[in-house]
Amino acid sequence: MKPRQIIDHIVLILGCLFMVLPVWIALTSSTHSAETLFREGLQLWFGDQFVENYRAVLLEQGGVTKTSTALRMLFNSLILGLGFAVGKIVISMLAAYAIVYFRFKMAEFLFWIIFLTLLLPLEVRIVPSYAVVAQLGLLNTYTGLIVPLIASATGTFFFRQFFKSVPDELLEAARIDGAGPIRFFIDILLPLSKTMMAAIFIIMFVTGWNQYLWPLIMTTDDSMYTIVIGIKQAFQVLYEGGELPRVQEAFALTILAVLPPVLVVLFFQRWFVRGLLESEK
Amino acid sequence: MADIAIRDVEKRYANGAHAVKGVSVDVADGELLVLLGPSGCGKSTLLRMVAGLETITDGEVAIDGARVNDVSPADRDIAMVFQNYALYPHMSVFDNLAYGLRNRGVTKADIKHRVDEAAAILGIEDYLDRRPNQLSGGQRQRVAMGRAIVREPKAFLFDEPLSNLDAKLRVHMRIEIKRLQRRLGVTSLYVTHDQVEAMTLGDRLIVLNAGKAEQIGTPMELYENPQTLFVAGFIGTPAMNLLPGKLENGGVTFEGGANLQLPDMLSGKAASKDVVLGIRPEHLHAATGQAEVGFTVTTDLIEHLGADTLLHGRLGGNGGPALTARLPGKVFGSESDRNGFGIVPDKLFLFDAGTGHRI
Ligand SMILES: Nc1ncnc2c1ncn2[C@@H]1O[C@H](COP(=O)(O)OP(=O)(O)OP(=O)(O)O)[C@@H](O)[C@H]1O
Ligand SMILES: [Mg+2]
Repeated sequence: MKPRQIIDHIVLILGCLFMVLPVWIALTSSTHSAETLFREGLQLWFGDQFVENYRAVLLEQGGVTKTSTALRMLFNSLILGLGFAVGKIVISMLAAYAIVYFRFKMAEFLFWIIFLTLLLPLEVRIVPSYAVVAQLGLLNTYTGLIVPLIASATGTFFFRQFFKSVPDELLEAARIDGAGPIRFFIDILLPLSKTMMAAIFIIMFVTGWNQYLWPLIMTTDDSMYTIVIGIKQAFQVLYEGGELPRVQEAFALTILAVLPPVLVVLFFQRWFVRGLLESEK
Repeated sequence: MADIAIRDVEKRYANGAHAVKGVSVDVADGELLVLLGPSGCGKSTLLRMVAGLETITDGEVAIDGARVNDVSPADRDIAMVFQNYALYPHMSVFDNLAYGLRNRGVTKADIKHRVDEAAAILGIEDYLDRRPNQLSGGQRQRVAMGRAIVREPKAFLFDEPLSNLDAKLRVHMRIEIKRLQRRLGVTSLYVTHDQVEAMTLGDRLIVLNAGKAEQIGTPMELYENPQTLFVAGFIGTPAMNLLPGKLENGGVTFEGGANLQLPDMLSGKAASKDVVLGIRPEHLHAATGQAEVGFTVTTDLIEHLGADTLLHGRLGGNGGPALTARLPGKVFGSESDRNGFGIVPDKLFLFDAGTGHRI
């Protein structure tokens, strides 16, 4: 038993190190000057350039990415991530509500049609979506960035499964208590779905935040770039031109890009776990 | 408060299941009518049609004289208590009770007053801030009752409200429900498959079998005067002895050859045919030989219950139909000492084996 546990732990710790080390190096290296990194290579401990580097990345126009400030890009990503997640939750909850609680012809069939779209990733329809958005004059707008993405088969599926697990008697009790379809949705279903919403929010926010291809095609205006595009730009810029590569700023940008999803996961995970504990039984 | 009239009500589900086949019954103002029957007989379906949770395929339901077939559940002014309580898990007990009132636009002060009053009646004042999952089964049951009584509805509808409780609590809550219903005087329909619960709670019972009403009457009427084999077998514990045999020459011949001479009042009634003779275990007693029908039984097992003793055996020896007798108090001696029983003639029931009807 004991030696076995020790081996298990060694494997786990090695695994963690393997995952965490690159992030650690990015974090520590982002606090050194370009000269240090150039002369001595990547750093494993913090330097003294933290404030300078991050200030430069966040606020300097045409800095490491030669485009927007990181602040602008973080803001764009945040809008995309939030719009993506909230939009998906709203749309898929309403769709699942209709499918589960309203008896209309072919409800089941329509659900499976929605479900089948899971097999079609965004990339498959990216050209027609682009054409539609372009014709509507929505290029370089948040609407154009978000709306084409917010239909969600995954979300609809999860909410459908969840709604089906809510006892019918709850609906019946609410009907007898004088709640119509909208009241029932708002007063009963929505509060019961909190945990589910938190879970889907985590997944969808991170997915939205990490969207790459769609924003890349959609946005031609620098001010609409998301942080993920920014990272790509930064690495493109890194080795062109004669000046010293601003590796430290590229790392700072990366760290900034990772931070919000991490915070969202940390925050909502607590909510998520608490929700699970409360609704037990 | 109101009466409920159920007239020739039919229910066919979309999948073709014919769950209720023409049931008619009137529930008087303030009466508690129990719907009793085995699983799948259509009790819940009938109740849910009265509640408005299922459409009525045919026939009519009227509450307080007004036809409600097409009225929504909320507008029927009824309250329902569900088997699993169906409390809103995310709301406090107070909000659970208040929700229906809020939806009806009752003022805040009035809601507070009514919830407090209901909570006091049910003894749940101390739990008003708790969530349902912080309550015991019995407390949840009370909250479910509370949700019904704050509404001050025209009728209560109960669908097996006690079946999730343990046996002891069930007996306790049964008595509480009865008291509460008497005190509030609200017309009630109560679904159960437990005949003891039905007998103790109901002012009247309707026994359902495969979607049809077998018999409607007070508990004692059903016990003393079952009109069909089904009712006879369903009401009473231990169940009535139902002995299949052949009626001929004023007597019944049972499997295994045993013959029982019937009293005139029964034997004259029918020509020779297949019958079922019904005898309640508690109506059998040690033979005295006077003005009685006598039974010879080979007893093979004695069960001591304390207040009573059950004797199991076979009528007329091996091969005869099984028979159970329930004798008061303690029975002395061994199985072999117990083989003569008697019964007063008017406690015998004779049923037509073909139709199941009383002869
Ligand atoms: N929604 C439904 N769709 C189709 N058939 C149904 C539906 N609900 C019930 N039934 C059928 O109708 C019949 C009566 O069902 P019901 O629920 O009324 O029985 P019950 O007497 O309440 O039984 P239990 O004691 O088990 O609750 C059953 O045969 C059942 O299979
Ligand atoms: Mg039922």
